[in-house]
Amino acid sequence: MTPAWTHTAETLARDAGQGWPAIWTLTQAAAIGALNLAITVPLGVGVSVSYAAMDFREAQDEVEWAHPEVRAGTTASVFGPLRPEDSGQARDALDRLAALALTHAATLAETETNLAAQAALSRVMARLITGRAKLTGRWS
Amino acid sequence: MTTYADLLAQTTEHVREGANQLAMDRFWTPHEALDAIGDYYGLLDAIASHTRRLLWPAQLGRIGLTRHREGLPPIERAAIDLVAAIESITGASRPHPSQISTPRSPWAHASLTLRAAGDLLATHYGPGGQPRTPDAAHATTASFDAGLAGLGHLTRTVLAHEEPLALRAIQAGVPRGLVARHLPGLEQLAELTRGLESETPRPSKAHLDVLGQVPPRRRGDDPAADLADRMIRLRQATWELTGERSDALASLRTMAGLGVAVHAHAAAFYGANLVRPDAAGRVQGADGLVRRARTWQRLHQALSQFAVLAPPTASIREDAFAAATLLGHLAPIDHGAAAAPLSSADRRIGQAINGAVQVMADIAVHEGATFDRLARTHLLYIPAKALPRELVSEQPALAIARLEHRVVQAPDAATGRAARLYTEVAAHPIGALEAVHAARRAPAPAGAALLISSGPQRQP
Repeated sequence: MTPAWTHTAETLARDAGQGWPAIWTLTQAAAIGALNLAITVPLGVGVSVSYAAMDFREAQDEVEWAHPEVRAGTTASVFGPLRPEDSGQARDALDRLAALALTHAATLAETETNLAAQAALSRVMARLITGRAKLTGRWS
Repeated sequence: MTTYADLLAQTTEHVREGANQLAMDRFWTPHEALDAIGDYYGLLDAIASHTRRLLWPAQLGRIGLTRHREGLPPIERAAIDLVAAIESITGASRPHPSQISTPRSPWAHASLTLRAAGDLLATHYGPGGQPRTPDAAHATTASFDAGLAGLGHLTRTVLAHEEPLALRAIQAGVPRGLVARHLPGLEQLAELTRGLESETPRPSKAHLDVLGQVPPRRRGDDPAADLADRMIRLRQATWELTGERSDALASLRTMAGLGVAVHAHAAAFYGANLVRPDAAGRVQGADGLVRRARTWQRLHQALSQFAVLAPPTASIREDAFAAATLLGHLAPIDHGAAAAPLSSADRRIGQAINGAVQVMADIAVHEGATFDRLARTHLLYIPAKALPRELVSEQPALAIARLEHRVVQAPDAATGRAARLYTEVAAHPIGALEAVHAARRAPAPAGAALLISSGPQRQP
């Protein structure tokens, strides 16, 4: 088990709130976690996890460019050290964070009327989708 | 009465529906996926047609203004470039093949409404561009510029879904090669749309100044040569970033990710087992390449903590991701060690891989200089919350910024780690490759062709 990572992810998911701040919190946590995870796992897996981290970080950029104030509103997430044997559970925890961010983005896209914000949301969703695929390896 | 705005709103709604389908559901058959890709092309073609509609009356309105000025206004130049780029991809046949079939996917419905919006607009103007209605008479060039800006947003929204569409197509069983041919990475189109969205026109350049890199030739039948081309373009692009650009950080991050990929795939090609934990203590041969990939990973992590305050105006993303895809094709991570001597095809791939490793070291030199410039000119920003507590406690200004959740200029202590890692990855990995070379050469029969040159490899 990875109680620390799983617990951190659950806490973040519970306290993320709604709208843009929630998307940012969850995406940022997924990006930081994926960067840490990529270094911990064997390189054969770490390459695709690094790609996932890039996608999540780009999604975070998109949120910050659309709403710069989100950086201030939410506590930065910190994942503790990870044992290699716990990497599978850690990956699942990060995937759940990204999935939740995607759900928040899809919900927001239903009501967002500003075209530029809508475009930003689309880019965020696209990065989250591809990031999740790279993180979990579920390409096929 | 249906208005132009209604039709655009319907288009946006269909695009949103398409995006949600990609996010939540998969294609059930390859045929369904290919239909969606065809409809996606149709939407891009509709965007090009609509851009033309918005362009021509605006051009007519500007003749008096632009006759004595050099070139077109930047937004029109960007619009024309976008139309040309889309049509080079979707083809020029009329009607576009996607228009012939009954629309089924959200992408096809979006094209339909966008084309309808364009037709509606056209009915307000005569063949020579003269207004036929009071509404058209009140429209100014600013109105059309605003329309182009809105279309730019829509285009970027659509382009953002290229990669998820490719992913879903692969999931549905469409061969990867086919997906890569139809959805090769349309990042260059997204670049062009930024010219439409820009509120402050970019300065007009002299004719020679606008000459950029030669557009990439897609060499789908020769991935090794394609990889070489891409890497050379990336080296050129990263060298250009060492200039006065202030938005280089996003590119540095992307290239750090590619650095991981290049060295990992090179290690796999030379027989490293990447499924096991890293070998401890060894820094030679394939394990040296693994060690170098790990350094790039740490650099990627270090760079990711800095904030990119605004979208970059230029991106190397397309070439970087294409190179990563080619690496996966040429040297899969589970490549496994092959007994020497290798085939001539393998030697050719080896040359391309060696070249990529070498070019990454060159790129690290350029990027180290760029990072150093960003650090010295205080263009690196970091959330104060991300700084170590001991550093914050020593500096009251940082402590206040942390309490106020602000982004601050990155202090030297925060930039030092990345700078040191750049120094590390900029060292040419000749030693690592030589060791692999020696290991491979030993069991080869006398006179066998050398697998790897012992000197620095340059791309063909």
